[in-house]
Amino acid sequence: MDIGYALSLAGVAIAVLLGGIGSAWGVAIAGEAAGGVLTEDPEKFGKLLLMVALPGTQGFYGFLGGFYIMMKIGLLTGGTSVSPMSGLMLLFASLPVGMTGLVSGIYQGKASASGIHLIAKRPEETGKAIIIPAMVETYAVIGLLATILMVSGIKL
Amino acid sequence: MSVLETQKIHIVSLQEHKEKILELLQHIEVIDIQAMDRAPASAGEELGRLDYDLAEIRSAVVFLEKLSRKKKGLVESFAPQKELVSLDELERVCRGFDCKALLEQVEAIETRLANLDNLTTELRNDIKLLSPWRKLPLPLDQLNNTKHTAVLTGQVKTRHLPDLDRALAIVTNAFQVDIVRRERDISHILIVCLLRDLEAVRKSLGSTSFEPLCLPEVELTPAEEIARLETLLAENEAEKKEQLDEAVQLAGNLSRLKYMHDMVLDTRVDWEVKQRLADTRYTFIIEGWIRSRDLKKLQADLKQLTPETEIYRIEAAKDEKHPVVLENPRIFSPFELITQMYGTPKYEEFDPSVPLSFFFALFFGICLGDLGYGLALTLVSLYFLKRYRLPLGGIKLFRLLILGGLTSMVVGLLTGSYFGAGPAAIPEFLSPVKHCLLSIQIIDPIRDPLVMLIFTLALGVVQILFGFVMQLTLHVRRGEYVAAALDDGLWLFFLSSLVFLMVTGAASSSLSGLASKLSLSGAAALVLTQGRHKKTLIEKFLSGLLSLYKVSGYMGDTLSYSRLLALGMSSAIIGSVINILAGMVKGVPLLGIVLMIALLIFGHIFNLIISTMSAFVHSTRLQMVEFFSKFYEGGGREFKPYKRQAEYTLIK
Repeated sequence: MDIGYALSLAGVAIAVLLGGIGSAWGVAIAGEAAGGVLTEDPEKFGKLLLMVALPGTQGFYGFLGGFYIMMKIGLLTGGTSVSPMSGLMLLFASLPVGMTGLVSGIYQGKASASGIHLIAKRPEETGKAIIIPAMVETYAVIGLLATILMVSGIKL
Repeated sequence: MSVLETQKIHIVSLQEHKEKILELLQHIEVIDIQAMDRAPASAGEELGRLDYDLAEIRSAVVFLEKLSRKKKGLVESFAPQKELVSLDELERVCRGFDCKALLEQVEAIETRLANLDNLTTELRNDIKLLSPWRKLPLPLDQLNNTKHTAVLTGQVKTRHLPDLDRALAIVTNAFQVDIVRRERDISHILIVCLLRDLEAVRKSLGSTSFEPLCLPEVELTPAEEIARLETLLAENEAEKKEQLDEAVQLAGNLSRLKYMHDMVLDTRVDWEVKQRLADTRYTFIIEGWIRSRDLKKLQADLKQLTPETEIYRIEAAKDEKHPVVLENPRIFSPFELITQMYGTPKYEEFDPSVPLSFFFALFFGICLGDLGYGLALTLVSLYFLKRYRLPLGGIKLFRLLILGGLTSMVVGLLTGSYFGAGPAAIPEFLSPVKHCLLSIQIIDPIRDPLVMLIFTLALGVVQILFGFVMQLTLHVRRGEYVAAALDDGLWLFFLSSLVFLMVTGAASSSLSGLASKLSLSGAAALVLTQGRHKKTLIEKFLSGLLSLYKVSGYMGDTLSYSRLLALGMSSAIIGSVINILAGMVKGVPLLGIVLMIALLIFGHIFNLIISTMSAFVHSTRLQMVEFFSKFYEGGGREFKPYKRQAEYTLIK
């Protein structure tokens, strides 16, 4: 147990935290919009639930990025020694998934909210309303991918 | 890949056959009736009346449904279950049904209930106002001012009571403060003073926390008044219950009401369609579109109904849009869902459902990528298809999920993923199975993300090039051979030679020299040809050069396919995290096994749901953004045949 290990844990924390915050924020934005629509039309609950859940994926991507680092340093299986430099590298590697998750989570929430307004007026266009917020999610996926590739490339 | 051929027709017949013919057309559902130019301007009044009736019935249905205590499931909120009924039955029920009377009854109950609710709130407020004064032994109307004295009622903060006394003592010495009820925070008090001091007393009370309260002037003491109000409240509640019971009784008519709604809706559709026809005194014309292959049958059916009918084929004008009907073999028809979500194809376009089907199924499989999840998804979708009567879109969706589930199972086998666990997790006594599964597994994406990444990018290259092939075919079919050769052909050649260059470069093969020559010649050819629409030579050259910039766009498109890797890994890793957590709670004394099983079940169901959602959404996106952009426009008009419309029922 040394500073390298602590730095990599900081990386895990950053990935999980930022992704989680982004998703919580985004889901809340979508949830507020859905609540408004449901007061008028409670029947739409099922469809809107889906829309509210859409910005929720960033939290998982953050967790995944964090988990990938945990596996790399063997946190759950006893642990390997991590040099301070590798630790720092793992910390940096956590940034793409964390930051993209934070920002895209919030903005996907906004896109979802407008999708919810679309469903309120034209329920038959639910498919389109689901696809458009997913465009925002792309960048969180890319962030996750970058983190995974960086982590798997780092030599401990 | 089929957009069916459609034909514009006029049906001409005598006025006296109109009803019969429309009934037949509604029944056989083959003609998309258009408004004719000569049709009379629609009279909004009749339509308004029908809409009003519909709204009234619907609100009664909603009111009664709320009372009938049947909870709607999540599935029903997506796909309301319609009642299956025969047309005869529907008509028989509606004929003997006094809908107006029922609606009036329902409305009366609704209004009465609203009034009762208001009254209840009022009574509750009055009781709340009086209850602190319960101990006051005087009838309330005796709290009036007399000739010389004045009475003030109100509340004050208990800790300010001494201040109150002091404040009053300053302005007068003829006063009396009675504490009716003393609580920890607030006391309710009665102040008696001389009438001539009243103004001064009020003023000095203003500086304290005293709040005057206005009590009703009745001949009863507060306790008696409260009792009276409570009796009223009880009566009120009893009547409310009575009304509700009556409404529940009326809810027995719910299905009749629904039938009625659909009857009125049918009348409305009928009425609207009639507005689209052109009438003369003795004849009428229906203008509409029909699938060419249905024409013979329609002719036969109409001739059988009445010989005094003629069908004319009308040549569609050049700028007229044919309505579009898609038809694909059964296995491919679910993929029409993706096409329609983007937009129905134009009449002259391909239906992209079949070309995208292979890619969609494969991408979905890679994203979900687990044998267990694939199996579960397939079974759940089958259950929904069997158990519920779904609208056409729902049926397509679940069929799509079944196909996606099957490809996920295959991908799961190849990548060694079984509910998030790898084949290595299989216990030793099943070693033959283990070895078998290990030999099937060709890659572990979590250990070799790079190999998987390259594979997904390669899939992207294949689909993008395929998009160019589609565009080329489309151009050839339209006879635009120059565009086919110089745009699509050259780009195909250039992009494939670039890929060739990258592959040979990475493998440091001796062919890389050839590849670079090919790419350069491709680029040169593009520079020479892409500016061919421009006027001057310099413009031609510059716009040709600029067109090479599109390569970066295609690069971006290709990179977009890396999401397949990320999503596949995310479902696999979340699955394995659930397994690890379950392994941890197993150690909990006593409840360990129970907790483990609960965690496994809930965890995997949860992962299945979110992973299926992402798999669907992202596979769809790859089709729409990366694939369709190469050749597909959409924006056609969907063929909507004249047929019976119903909201609550399904005609057998």
